[in-house]
Amino acid sequence: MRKQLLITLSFSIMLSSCTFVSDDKSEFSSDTDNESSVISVDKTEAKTIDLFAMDTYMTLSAYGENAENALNKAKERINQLDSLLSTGNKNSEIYSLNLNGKGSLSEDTSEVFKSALDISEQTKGAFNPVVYPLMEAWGFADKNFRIPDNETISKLLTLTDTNNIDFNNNDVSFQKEGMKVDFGGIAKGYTSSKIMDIFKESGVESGMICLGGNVQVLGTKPDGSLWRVAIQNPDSETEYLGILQISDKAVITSGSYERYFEQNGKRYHHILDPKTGYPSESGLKSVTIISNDGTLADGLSTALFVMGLDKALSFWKLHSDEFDVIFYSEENELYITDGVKDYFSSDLDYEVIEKESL
Amino acid sequence: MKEKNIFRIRFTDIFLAVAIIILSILIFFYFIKRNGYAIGNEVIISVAGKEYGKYSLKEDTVINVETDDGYNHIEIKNGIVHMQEADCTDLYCVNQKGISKKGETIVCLPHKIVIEISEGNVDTEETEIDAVAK
Repeated sequence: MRKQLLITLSFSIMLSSCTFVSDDKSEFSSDTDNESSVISVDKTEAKTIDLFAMDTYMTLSAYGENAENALNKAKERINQLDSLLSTGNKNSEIYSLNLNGKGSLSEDTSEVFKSALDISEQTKGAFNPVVYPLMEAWGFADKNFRIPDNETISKLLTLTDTNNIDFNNNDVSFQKEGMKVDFGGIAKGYTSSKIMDIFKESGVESGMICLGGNVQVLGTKPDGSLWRVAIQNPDSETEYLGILQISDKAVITSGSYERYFEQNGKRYHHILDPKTGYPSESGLKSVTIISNDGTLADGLSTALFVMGLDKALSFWKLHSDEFDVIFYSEENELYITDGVKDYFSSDLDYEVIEKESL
Repeated sequence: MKEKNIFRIRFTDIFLAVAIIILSILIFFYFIKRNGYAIGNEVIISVAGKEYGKYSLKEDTVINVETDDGYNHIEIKNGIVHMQEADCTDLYCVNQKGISKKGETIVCLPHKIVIEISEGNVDTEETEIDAVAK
């Protein structure tokens, strides 16, 4: 009896301690294996940099032997684009364009501008790059938040017609005095696309960047698995809306929950409806766009947020080969379009929108 | 006769064996669970790109960060990090929901403060993420 007890007891201790060790080890064994193996030595270690630019916080990671070089080039590129596109920097092209109402643009600024106008046209003005006078009136430009009166808003709305922008090659001029452009809703997406190009040119096959919540990934992770990108839940501190598993995609969210101010108990967020001049009230809390094209994803996240669910889905139906969407409504309902249904997981209930059902 | 009695398996022996096996299974899960939580749970605060301090997500505390641009009060409570108070211009950091999982950040841009969770509640591999789109 005693002998048996001893045997069983020692067996049970072996069992528990053994699994503890092996479980512990499995966390690290793959890493150490790779470090000692010459073949995969350059693939597993991520190089990461972070920086403050474009009025946000950015982190960039790249894998492979050219990672460091690629990251340095990317950082240079970010700062260069920032110095061209910033509305606040007095030396930027945009600052000078907004001041003078006309200007000769660099290739980059011109390309961003044309993309912005293109998305604006496609979305029938739900995305509008010239609502900046209204952003200023609400204080979202200088963070001196205030509610403009109706008169001010209707006056400023007359400055937001994109038909009053003349484009001639890279020369641009505004037909109305006081018009101002702002690429806040598209510049980060454009930048992340350009960084992907730099990564590829530099021989990086695997990388991930996050420009103030705008995520774009190149390839897969070095071990071949998909990147796991969580979608922020505007209502929860411990749960995500869900997790996307992706490769070679931009994932960009616009929501009313991040940048806002409160006055007299009411919340005013930063996504203005270009048609009303007031913060958009379309019944959505957040819109996430998943696309190969970072510029498009950035512009559309704002546009579809402003459109609201029904219009946004009609728009998606026409362009479903270009992007997919995750919607989170004011009623806490979660919708995803069917292109991402196999790559999305969530603890929450959600509805998959099929193209055929629209 | 005596020896025969020693090696005879009795009901109590089986009972004991089963009890020990159940116990060992419980210990097994306890360690897995503990191990999952024990790897990190680290909160890293940096100011203007320089590390300011590291804190445990499991210990409730309040950290007062004074920068040249102003102050931020960061609270760690029940495994969640909040920006409790700040005198920055936009208060976006204070308005932001708390964070609790690996890879999540709270950023106070005007003061160049970044709060990041370097290892979160790693229960299972499922909760591991590479980035948060927001």
